[in-house]
Amino acid sequence: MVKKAVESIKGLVFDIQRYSIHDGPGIRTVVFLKGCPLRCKWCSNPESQDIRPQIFYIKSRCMGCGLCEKNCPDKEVKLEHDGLKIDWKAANRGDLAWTSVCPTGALGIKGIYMSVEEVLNIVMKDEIFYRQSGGGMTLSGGEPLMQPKFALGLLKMAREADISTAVETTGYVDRKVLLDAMHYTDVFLYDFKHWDDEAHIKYTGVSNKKIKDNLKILAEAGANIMVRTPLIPDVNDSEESIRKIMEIIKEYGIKKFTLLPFHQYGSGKYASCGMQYDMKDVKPHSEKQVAKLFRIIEDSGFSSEF
Amino acid sequence: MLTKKLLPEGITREERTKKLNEAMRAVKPEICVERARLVTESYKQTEGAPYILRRAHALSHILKNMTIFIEEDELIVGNHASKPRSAPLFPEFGSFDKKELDLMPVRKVDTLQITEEDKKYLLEEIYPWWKNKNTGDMAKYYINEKIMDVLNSPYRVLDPISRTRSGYGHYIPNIETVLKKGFIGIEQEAKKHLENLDILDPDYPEKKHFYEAILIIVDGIKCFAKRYADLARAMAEKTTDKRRKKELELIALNCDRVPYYPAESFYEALQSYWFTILIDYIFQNGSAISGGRFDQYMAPYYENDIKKGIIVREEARELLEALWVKHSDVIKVGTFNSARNNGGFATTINIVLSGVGKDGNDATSDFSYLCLDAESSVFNSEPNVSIRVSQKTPDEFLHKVLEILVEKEGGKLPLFNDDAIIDALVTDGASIEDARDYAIVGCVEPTPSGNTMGITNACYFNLAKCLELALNDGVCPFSGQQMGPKTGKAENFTSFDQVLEAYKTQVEYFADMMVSSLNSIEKLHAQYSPHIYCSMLLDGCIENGKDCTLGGAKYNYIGVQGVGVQDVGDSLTAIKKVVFEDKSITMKELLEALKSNFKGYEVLQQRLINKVPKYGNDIDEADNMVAWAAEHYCSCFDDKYDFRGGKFRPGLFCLSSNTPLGRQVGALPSGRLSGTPLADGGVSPKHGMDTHGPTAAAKSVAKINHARAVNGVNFNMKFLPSILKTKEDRQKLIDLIRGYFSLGGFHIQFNILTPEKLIDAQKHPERHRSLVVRVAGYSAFFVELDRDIQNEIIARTLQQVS
Ligand code: SF4
Repeated sequence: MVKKAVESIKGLVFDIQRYSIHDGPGIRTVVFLKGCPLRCKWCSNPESQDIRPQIFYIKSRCMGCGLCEKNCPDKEVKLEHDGLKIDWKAANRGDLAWTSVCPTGALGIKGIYMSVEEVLNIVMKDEIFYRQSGGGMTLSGGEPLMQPKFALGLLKMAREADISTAVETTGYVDRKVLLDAMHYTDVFLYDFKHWDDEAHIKYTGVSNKKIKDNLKILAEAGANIMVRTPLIPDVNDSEESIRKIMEIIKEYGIKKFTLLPFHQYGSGKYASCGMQYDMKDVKPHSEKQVAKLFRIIEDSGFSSEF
Repeated sequence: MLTKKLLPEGITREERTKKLNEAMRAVKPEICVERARLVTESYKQTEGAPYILRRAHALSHILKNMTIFIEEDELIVGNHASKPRSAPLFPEFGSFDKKELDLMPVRKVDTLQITEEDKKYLLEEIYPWWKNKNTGDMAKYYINEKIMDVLNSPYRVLDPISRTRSGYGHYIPNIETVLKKGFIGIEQEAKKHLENLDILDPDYPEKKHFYEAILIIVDGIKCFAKRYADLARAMAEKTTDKRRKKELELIALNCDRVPYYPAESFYEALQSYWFTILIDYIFQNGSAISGGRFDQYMAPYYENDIKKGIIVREEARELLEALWVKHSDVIKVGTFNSARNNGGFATTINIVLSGVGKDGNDATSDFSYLCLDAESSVFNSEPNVSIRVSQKTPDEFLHKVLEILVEKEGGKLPLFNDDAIIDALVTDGASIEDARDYAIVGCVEPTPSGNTMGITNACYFNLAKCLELALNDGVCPFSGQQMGPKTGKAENFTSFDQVLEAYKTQVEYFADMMVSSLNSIEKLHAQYSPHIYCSMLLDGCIENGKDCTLGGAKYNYIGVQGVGVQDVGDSLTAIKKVVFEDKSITMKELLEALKSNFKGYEVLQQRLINKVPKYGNDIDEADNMVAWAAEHYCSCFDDKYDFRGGKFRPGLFCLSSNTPLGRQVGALPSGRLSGTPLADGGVSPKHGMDTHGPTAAAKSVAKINHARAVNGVNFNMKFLPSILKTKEDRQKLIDLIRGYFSLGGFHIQFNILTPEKLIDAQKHPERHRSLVVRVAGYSAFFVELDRDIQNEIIARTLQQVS
């Protein structure tokens, strides 16, 4: 593919975050791609799941001006005394451009089509900080490899620009795409949520078989992989659970493993997308509990540094 | 390990520092009238003599007669006024009326106790004598009447008059000279000059007076130190505590020698440093008389004593901490207005650590680390410790700085970019050696050390007000006064360029007013309040036989700060976009909206805030407008000099004056409401508007040409401590700093704290006495700040960091 052709590929992006410091080595810009094959109950990016653009409503920013109600095509939103009432299904259909009438940014769109070139232009704004810190671009989501052409295009161009590349993946993707991505990816941040298939299906909606197989093959192909397990209370936070995961990935020859402690920062976003959040009452672990598990990981010979 | 060699055993460093610090923090500051009495006595006796001699006699008289004391467990001695942390008065610069005095014990910021008796004494005996004799009163003879009309408005664009009351401050005395040569060296030099004076020299009488004045002052200094030596001996004799007896004897030995004789040990050097800087504060009402490159000139004394085995590291730290605490003793009293501008008894005695040496190599030493240790134990708002960072500064040193910031949850320790600042100083006319030896005055102002009369904070200039005037044909919307030139009715403007032209005209008009009034005020000071003590400590003055107020020092500047460049830039971007590009509203409508403070125009206001790009997000369209306004302001002073040949040096910083200056400006096209604070820092993105994270903010800030604002800029960045938890996190912040510096940024300052903590501090000040925060470029005890400013700090953008 010639460079021009790559640059013009478009994909659906729902956020770009600069100065991300926990998503790979150095200072990074994380590009969030929309769409995910999993439906994890603890997901902190619920707006990432659907592969189409969608409306996002931040109630606290709404000034109640009613402009949205006046301008929506078919009465999808209604202004009531405590903010908007939205018919989500109807509202998310069709062109969402009318939401731009909102003067406060309370009403907006998650998911904008951008070209590889447009994204790279933003990513490269922090080039000087990448050079200083050894950082670069991280693709995240959702599942970034669900938009394979776009994701590969981004990785290729980033590699060409000589900055570090990382991919955060669920592993639940087409094997060929994963292996293709490997050529342009310095480190994979590969999520492994549960060793037990039944539990995996229960909590994420999909089997872990493909994820395990892909992980094995990717490891065998020589990719640099950091496995990450979101640590969810009463789901996979037992010592046994962590040990099981470590057993499996050790077998694959993986040396880097870390935990992502559960947090509630994403909870407000469910309401903003018209979705239901089921984990409101779940308490995050104490620092001590987390530290204990980290110690076990370290004692098992895994590194948690990129 | 041995912890003491020089000092007697019996108390640990931690215990002493805790005791000294608690005692200092427990003080309820009050007004001290003793200096007012002494200076008045002396001036009455010297009527008719040349002012430079009257001044010298007055100061000497104070040193010989003021109350002195040595506090429990102090190791470094020397007090500013008759009680710890009390504020002396300077009637020769101006008086306080009854209303101001009544306000002092009840005002929320810089609260000062004063007895009825003292009030009466001041109002009936002291101030009447000084009427029309103090520089504040005399300003009216010096400043053009038309300018005075503007300055008298509460909505004025600038307020240079406060300079007449403050006297001299904001420079870096050459303390190294005193350590090395002692005042005896200076005395000898003055004597020699006096003996060799040529009677045919046309300046013979001025020079004669100048050198005689020096001799009078040195006599006072000698006496001052001797009084402490005597006091320490008397106390040693009385005490039954063996340990304290020994300490007092050591203090007496120190005061026998310094600052008159050269310092021979580390302990003597510290005492000499303190006397030297303290005496300047006793003489002058000014603030920000700064310590310069403390680790550079102090390290040889420390290293020598360690090598000789007369001191151990831990004990050196104990001495340093005792000295550090002393800095909080110096507080000044200002009017309610000036207290609100600066807030929190900000004396801002700046001390600089690290950076490159005169040879251009990294000059960080073990002693620099020791100073950081002392800073982390004491961590008061004074001294205002600054860090010079060059490409050669080790990461390890910066890690230590960040660790302290995280641990203390309070922003201090601003970082300065050696590479960019040194270049800019050379361009500004300093020699490469002097540029490399720069230090920071007050908060953010870089000048060469020990040879520069900087006056780095002479005046704030309200740029946002100029924009408001440009949109109102020069008329102040609050008062109806025709304050600026008539630049045309904005509703008739047909192009954006006309807006820019009107704005430029307003800024240039007031910039000229500032230059004129400050030049007048410098003349006034030079005439009536020469600053001989400082002249002894600035290279050039003694050689030239000329007081520093007359231009005796090697370098002379006047620093003038533009405030609100961010509000101006964002407002111009908004006008350009909505009125002239999208044409979504007319200028007339916009002006209506501003006039009504967006009442009834709330949707428009939200659109202006949310739909127009804002400075601080690395968006060229917005950033370039701010950079343009900054460049334009700085260019107003390209060819401006005062009567001493001193350059008017523009800066872009505001301490906390953005809050009071904001009260003078109505609603702005950026969406800002009338009377609310202007953007803080000077170049920091407006609170809450920088939503693209710290790298974007840093890049935006660096698009302003900092080298043009060579008097200093201020970039505040606030973080939650959670983003600096691990060493890797801190390394990334260091990389951010280095990246920002490689783009030419001069300064960055981190506030690392939790909003909860600040809200709690508002409710329970007593529980948070130790909480030090930086208010836009300097630090202060949070609980001592004005409520408005406290709220403003809480509202400051929490950087969005995942
Ligand atoms: S347009 Fe925006 S601010 Fe106005 S009511 Fe709708 S969501 Fe709220």
